Amino acid sequence: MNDALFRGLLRIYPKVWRNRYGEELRTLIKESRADRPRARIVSNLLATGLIERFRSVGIVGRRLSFQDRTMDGVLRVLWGWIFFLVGGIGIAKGSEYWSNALPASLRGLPSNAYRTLVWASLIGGGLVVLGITMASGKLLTFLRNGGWPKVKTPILRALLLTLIATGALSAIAYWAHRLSFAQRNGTNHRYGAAILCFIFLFLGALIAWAVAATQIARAISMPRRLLSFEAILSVAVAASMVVMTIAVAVWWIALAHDAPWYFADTAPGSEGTTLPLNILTESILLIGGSSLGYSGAREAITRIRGWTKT
Amino acid sequence: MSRMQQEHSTGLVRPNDPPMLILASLSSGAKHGYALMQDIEAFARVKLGPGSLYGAISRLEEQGLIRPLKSNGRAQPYELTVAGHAVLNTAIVEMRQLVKIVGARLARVPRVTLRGQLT
Repeated sequence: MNDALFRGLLRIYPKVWRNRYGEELRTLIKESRADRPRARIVSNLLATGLIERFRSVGIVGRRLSFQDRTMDGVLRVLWGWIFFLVGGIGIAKGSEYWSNALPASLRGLPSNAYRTLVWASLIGGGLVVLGITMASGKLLTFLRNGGWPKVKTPILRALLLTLIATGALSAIAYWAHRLSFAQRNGTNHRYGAAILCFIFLFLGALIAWAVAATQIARAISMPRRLLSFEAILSVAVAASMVVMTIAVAVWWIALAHDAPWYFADTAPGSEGTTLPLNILTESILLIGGSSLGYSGAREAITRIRGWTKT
Repeated sequence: MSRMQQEHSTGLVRPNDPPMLILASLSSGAKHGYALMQDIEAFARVKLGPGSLYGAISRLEEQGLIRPLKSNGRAQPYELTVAGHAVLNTAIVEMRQLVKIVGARLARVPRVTLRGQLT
């Protein structure tokens, strides 16, 4: 393996890990290259690098104390919520005017499912905000006691990305007012590219805030009562994600059965795919987010129970 | 069983886990990365990738189960700590218990020979 490829792969690992084990890993690869095929080494470094990166921001990984494990579970729910939110925004955008595709007599089931989705998203979102608000008191105490240098970088990074994303959104909104409906919906490619850039910026800001929240949660110490409350909230958030996923599935099945042309974006009465790429991607995000949320909530509640017993 | 041992043992009872294999390999003395890789391949027939090996080493070091020794060259040797020895012993006891239980259960089940006859 050449040095440039190794350095590139090593960049996947978190900086602290790289500084500690990078040279040892380089030596090991040099010594073992005769025994292992190059493709296998590359895929192994890629996979384990991602795992270490996820561990560093708290998506995966186990630490020893009940308190840490409970926090791991709560943070996993938060990350599940982020994935879910991205998929949910896609569903919300793609489901505009869906009721026009169906006659009033067939709207009952999908309408109820959609209403459930909206209510569950409001409750879930409210619970996430409540969880963050409840923890903010501890954050302020932490900052007052000189903790700012420890969390400065992720917070400033998230703020910067949010500012850039907000600026981009304002510019796009100003531009959109000067375009026709057709230009806004596909004929103006530069506008389409700008929207795509904004989506990436928005995702970047969202992930940056989740990273900041993870690093803050790792840095502050939460009393048992507050952590128990956060664990219970995480269970409720995970339940709301499961409810929303089921609601989206019911809504999609009802619409795919009675108005398949809605998903294919073709004329009423025509045939077409009921599972286009955007719906498929959004479904993966919803199911992935819910699964992550479920596993995190389970971890949090199991650990908090164990912690209470000790 | 102490709380620390109990918590470690839940993750280490699977004998093919990289951390377990590393602890088992270091039980015969300090080794560096490549020596660990070769030893594990020899006694467990498991080919660990370099990333998997160092991922496990970093976790074991973080948990205080192994520690690096002073080294002159680039290859860094590691050795078991007292906690590492304790965890390895606990894991072995658990595995012995598992073997004993499964062995007793298998002894009660009628065995089928290669010719399909019950013994």
